[in-house]
Amino acid sequence: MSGLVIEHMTVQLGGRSILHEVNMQAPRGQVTAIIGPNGAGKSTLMRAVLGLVPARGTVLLDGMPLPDRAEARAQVIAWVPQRSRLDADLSVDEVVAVGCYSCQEPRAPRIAAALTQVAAGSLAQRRFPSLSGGEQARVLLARALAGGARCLLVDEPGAHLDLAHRLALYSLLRSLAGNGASVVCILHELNDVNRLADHCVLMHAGRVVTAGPPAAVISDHELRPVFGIGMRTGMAPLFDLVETST
Amino acid sequence: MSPGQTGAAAVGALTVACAASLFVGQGSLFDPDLRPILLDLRGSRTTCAALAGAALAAGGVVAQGLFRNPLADPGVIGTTAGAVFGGQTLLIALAAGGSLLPPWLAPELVLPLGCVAGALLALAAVLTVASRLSDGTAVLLAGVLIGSLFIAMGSFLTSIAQNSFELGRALLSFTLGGVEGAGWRQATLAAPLVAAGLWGAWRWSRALDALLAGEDEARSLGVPVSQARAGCVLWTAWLTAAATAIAGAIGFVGLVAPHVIRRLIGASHRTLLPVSAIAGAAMTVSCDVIARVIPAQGVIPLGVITGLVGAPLFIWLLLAQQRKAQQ
Repeated sequence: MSGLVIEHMTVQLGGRSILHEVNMQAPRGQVTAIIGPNGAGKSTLMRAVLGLVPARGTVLLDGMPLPDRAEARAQVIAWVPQRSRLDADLSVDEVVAVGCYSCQEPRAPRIAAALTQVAAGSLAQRRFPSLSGGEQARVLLARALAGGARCLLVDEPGAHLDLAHRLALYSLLRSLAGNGASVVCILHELNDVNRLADHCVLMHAGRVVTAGPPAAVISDHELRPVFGIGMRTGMAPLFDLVETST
Repeated sequence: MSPGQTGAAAVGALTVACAASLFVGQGSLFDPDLRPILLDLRGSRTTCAALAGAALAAGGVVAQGLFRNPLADPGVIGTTAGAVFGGQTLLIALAAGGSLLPPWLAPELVLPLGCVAGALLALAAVLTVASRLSDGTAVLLAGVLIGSLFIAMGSFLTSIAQNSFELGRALLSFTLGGVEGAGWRQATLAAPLVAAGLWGAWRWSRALDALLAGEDEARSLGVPVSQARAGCVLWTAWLTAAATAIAGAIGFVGLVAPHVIRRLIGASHRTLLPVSAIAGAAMTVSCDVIARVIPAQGVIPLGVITGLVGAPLFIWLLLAQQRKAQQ
């Protein structure tokens, strides 16, 4: 299958089992949402795929195992953390240049293209710490895109963003998937799953409970045992990005 | 200011400092009889001061990136003390078995090796402690304590070496450091060491930029973190050792120069490292000129002047960092 395939992923940290035999797929050209309560192992799963925590199991991308070397791995899979630890006085283009660490020269066109892709070309010379949360999120996404990876792992893309910025970011992630990338997002806001994802994976206590189309996974039947509360599916206010004239 | 403008200003400052260094001191450069001698003495002294300053400032930039702490000066984190101890140990070893060296291998040629070994030992000790501490100030404190340990061991070696007058003098002279007696031979030996250190450290500048976001993000961006850390440790030790072998223990250049330049051009190591190196060279040459201008009975060591400038700034930076952490 083309896309990201995770098989038998098991992670133990400090003698505690965090992930047990996790199997999941993130098809190419689609957005896959990983949902679940706190402590379900969603972020650990991403970190295990990236090789940031010791893990057992297999990760395939488009049928090929992910390279062991960090440099080669970064060329095929990129990560956008929920919140970067970056607080140094770098300009935006310097931040995005870091995303090209494993790229061949010339880097400048890649940096410009990545910034244009996230509609942040005008921010290139601004200092990163002076940006708003939404602008920083776009720049971190550009940093991930600059490396040219065909699989993108995004940890809570909408966190700390207002509605307009969140919708813009979701629209961008959908267009990346539309261009053939495998996009995997951790989402806490269940109302956003339908809007963003084509495929949904529900996790609980380090295991995959179920996976499938969002309409099948986001149901009282599936969510009640996992979240421990009843859920009613109804019509949430539907916001969307529209052109406005002032 | 842009990196280009700041770099040009740093080159201008270095040119002025070098010119002042050639003209300032006893005896006039306009005296045709004295001119060749003064140019020879002051030229080599100025070159050695500039090389030591460039190496210390670049070492400071790399150490600060490695520890993610703008206060990690090689002098503060014990690397300089380790380099001095390594040099002292090597001098004693040479005195004991110097005849084992081939005739073409002068002791000055192997002295930097001892300094590199000592600096690596000190850095390894600080990194081992740092891996168990999360607080940046505690890491600095650990560096200061490890530096004190190396100073104590070096003092012990100097004490027991006093049995031999020649060795005692050599150890004391090396420990006090300074560039007043530096000749062209030392400058010629030091220049390739410093150039190699600057080039080697600069090659890790992209990795250091990535490490500003922490090890996990850097690894996800393709940085071989263990290799990068090892490379940065090696080149920090190399640069500190080169500076120590040229001029002894000079403090705070690796703190002041990168701090000033970082405020002007930002934290990107690709520009920060070379511009800081030029600024560090300008600062050290200027401090050496000041040391010559102050009236004194004997020679004022270069490290005294850099300490007088750097120590107050270090305290101010420490307080500023604490204020930032509390916000």
